[in-house]
Amino acid sequence: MSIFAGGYAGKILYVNLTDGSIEKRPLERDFALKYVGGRGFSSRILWDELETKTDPLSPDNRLIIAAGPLNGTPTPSASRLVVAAKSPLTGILGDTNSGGYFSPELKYSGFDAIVLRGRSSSPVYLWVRDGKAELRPAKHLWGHKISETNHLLKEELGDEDIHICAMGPAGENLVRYACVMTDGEGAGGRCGMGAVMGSKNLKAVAVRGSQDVGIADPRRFKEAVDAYRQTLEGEVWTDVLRRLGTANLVEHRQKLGIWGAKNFQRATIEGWEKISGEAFRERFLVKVMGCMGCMVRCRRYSAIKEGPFAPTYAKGPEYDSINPLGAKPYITDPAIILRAHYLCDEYGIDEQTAGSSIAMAMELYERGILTKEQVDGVELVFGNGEALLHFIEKIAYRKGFGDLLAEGTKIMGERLQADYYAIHVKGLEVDASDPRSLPTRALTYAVSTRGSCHLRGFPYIDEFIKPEEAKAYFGTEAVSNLKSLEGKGKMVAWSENWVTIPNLMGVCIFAWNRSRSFPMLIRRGLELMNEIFVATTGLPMTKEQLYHCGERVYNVEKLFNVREGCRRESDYPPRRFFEEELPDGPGKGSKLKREEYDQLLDEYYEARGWDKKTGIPNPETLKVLGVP
Amino acid sequence: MERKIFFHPERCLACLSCMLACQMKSMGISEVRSLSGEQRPAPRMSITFDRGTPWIWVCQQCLSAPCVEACVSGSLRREDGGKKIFHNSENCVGCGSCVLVCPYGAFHYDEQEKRVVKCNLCLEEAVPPCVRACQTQALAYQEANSFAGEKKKKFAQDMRRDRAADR
Amino acid sequence: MIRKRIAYFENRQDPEAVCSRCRMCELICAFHHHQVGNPGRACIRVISLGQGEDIPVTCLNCEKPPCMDICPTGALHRDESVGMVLVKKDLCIGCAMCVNVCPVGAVTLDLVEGVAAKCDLCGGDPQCVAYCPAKVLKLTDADQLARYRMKEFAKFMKTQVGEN
Repeated sequence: MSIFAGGYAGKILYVNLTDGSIEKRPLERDFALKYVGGRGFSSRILWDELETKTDPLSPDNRLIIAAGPLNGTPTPSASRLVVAAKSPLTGILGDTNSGGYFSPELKYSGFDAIVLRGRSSSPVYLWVRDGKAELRPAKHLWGHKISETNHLLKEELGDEDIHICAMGPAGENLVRYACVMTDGEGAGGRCGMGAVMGSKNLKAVAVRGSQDVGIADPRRFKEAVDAYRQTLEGEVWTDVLRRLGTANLVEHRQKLGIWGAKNFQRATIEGWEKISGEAFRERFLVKVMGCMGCMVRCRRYSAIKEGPFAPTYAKGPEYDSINPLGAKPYITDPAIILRAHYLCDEYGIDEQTAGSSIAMAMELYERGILTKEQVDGVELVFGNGEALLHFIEKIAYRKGFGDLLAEGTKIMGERLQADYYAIHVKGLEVDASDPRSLPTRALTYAVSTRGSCHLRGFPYIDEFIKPEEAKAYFGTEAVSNLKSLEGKGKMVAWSENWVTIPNLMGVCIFAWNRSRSFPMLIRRGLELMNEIFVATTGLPMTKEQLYHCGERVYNVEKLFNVREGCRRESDYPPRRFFEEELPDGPGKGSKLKREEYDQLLDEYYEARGWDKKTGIPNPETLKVLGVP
Repeated sequence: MERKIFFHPERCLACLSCMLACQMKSMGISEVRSLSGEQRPAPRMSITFDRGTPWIWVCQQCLSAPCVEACVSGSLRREDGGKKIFHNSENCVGCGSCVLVCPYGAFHYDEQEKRVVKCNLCLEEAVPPCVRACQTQALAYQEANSFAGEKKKKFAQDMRRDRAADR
Repeated sequence: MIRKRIAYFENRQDPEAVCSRCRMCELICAFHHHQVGNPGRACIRVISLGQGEDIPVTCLNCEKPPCMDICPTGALHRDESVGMVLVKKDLCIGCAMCVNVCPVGAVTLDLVEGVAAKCDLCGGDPQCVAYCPAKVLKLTDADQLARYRMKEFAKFMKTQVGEN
């Protein structure tokens, strides 16, 4: 019997792949109250169980698959899954967040999370069903791409309704940024979780369950969910995302001139209309799709039905496919981008790092730093779509030049003495946008606890917050001034704690933080979210306490990285952003200024209660949060 | 979720291979040629016809089985965490109460042994011999909701074929 | 009496007006009937056929329901207020013969309660219809359905025949 009145399954599955032992441990109430779920569980467990300087590809690394308390309930878009480990790409904390149907099914199978350690002596997969788990041989699955792996597993287990988190050939070959794919659709893309699976000889995790996820107060739950849904119904973002998916951001990047095109040498793209959200919808969209319980439905299902790449069926593409596979290598053929995205999904490679690595190589080739011989005789120039497709496969199998590409831009930079052209923070490539004209975005990317990531914070607040709201929440009206840097460090820090919350709950941010109204960020994001949490679990939690859970988790992640050697020096954007001006677009002439950035970072550390010189959390800060 | 025997009447040829396989199993015979014209044991499964459509009589493993309630000797028991109904014919006294209450004719009276017999799903086998013997896969050894799911899938496929013209 | 049922109305010309496989219908059905999160206990299910084909399937509310005919205890009975076949849980012995005979697999066995489960139109205000974000589930009847199909076919014929 679960000690929880609802939400939680109450059990964490511990699997030792070395000796094959499997243990079910109860989820402690105190742990749930402090860390809530999802990224909270994974970050805390990684902090507790890993030693400093653990080799991420060694048996001692942990792979953690975590759901949140709301997964499995009819909470809107409670579909997200966290997969975490120490990253083989960055050497610091790594985690991914993906949608679909896996995390609800994990809850129905009776578990809140799975913690895997060790290394199996031969390929295996984990089969979890209704409270029971077993390791089964996977030699016959080894070598297969994602779709085929899923198909074979469903056939073997005799059930089409199982849900699968798998790695592809890239993971088997320990490509540093190999990803995990859930149900062949949702990528747990970044940080190389697939490589960790490969290093453990773990091909896949399959789950199936028929158990209830309890709801402590159904009447209160329904009221909260209905109120929550109403805030999404009127939301303009809901319509935009449904119509064009995340690819709607293509036009935004072009209008603001913040592309990182040609490996961050250009801020605008000629021919961008060919790869806009409208273009993809017009040419390839079969239908829109929604993750579990989602009313936004931003997923695309696309098909190429004519031309050299027909037939190709894939979920996507996302903006974060078009950016690294289009903008970065400067390719404006949408069929090539979609095909490249499909290949990344099938081989199990993070398209963000793949595109970034190939784009970096393109720049090095054009500058003569890489010779044609070194790149397997391929004319590796920007715009060469065939080269992109060619090297994606080579990366997956570590063949030829693909072997170096498979290391990611940081190691490529080190090996080729060309680290200036490696555009990453802490080893994770800059995604989303070029922040040279938007310093608060630069800060957000640079301080993120998994390396450069736009999802760890929410710096867009200053685009719509009103002066009186800014004064009330951040102590100064300047936060509502887009041009001012005053108060922005504080704003970013607040946004990071706040945006951690959906990652704990298992809820998708597109059904949570999309708004152009700051009061709505508080109403939906904190108040209603907390109301749903309390109605589901019956646990005592206020919205202030929930916010502090976000802060607590963020600090644990920072501690993990500090233990691995991160200091203030790691929290800086790449040199290129300080040394080169944007050459074109509305932001032409912009670049980051060192003194300004230092000021921002100082303010950020102060707001966080971290030491300004080292970036290390102060003991008082940790004491208040009850960490470690 | 436990498996039991489901039936696809549209596939049934009424060849009675299932009945024969059941009897052979209870006689311990694996070769059909070993059978002669001798008397055979009461079958745990049989075929009936309803307006021209064949249907099988076999224990449905009811979750709230009336037979377990009615049994006076305790030879009918819930096993396996309550999910299967096991009839221990050794303890059966042949009172016939189960025969009266079962809606599915699952119980047959064995004249020689003076007790009833019922399908116990041949749990020592991976798949019951009757299901294996059926040449048209009219018998399915399946979980209830998996069986329903397949029917749903077939219906969805029919609907898709129907709408192919709209594509 | 015109028998109401929940039917799936898609418009294949509109990528937003087809089932998106969000499975909210399953989630809200199970929540409405059992106050839990467990789509396995829902009376509607989204069937995925691959290549983007997702079709919700539920009870067709037959004129001559095989489920009701076969039920040995009378647990499955027609409730004329809703027009649907409903399950009297205290009479149901969990034999699952109704599951066996339903031609579309719309009747299932609820594993927690040990009784048959099927769509009951939520007493007249079907929740799946209310919560479907694509608005592709509708409470309808055979007449409306037939008219809808005729209209779709007429539109299709027009595209084939053209201006002539």
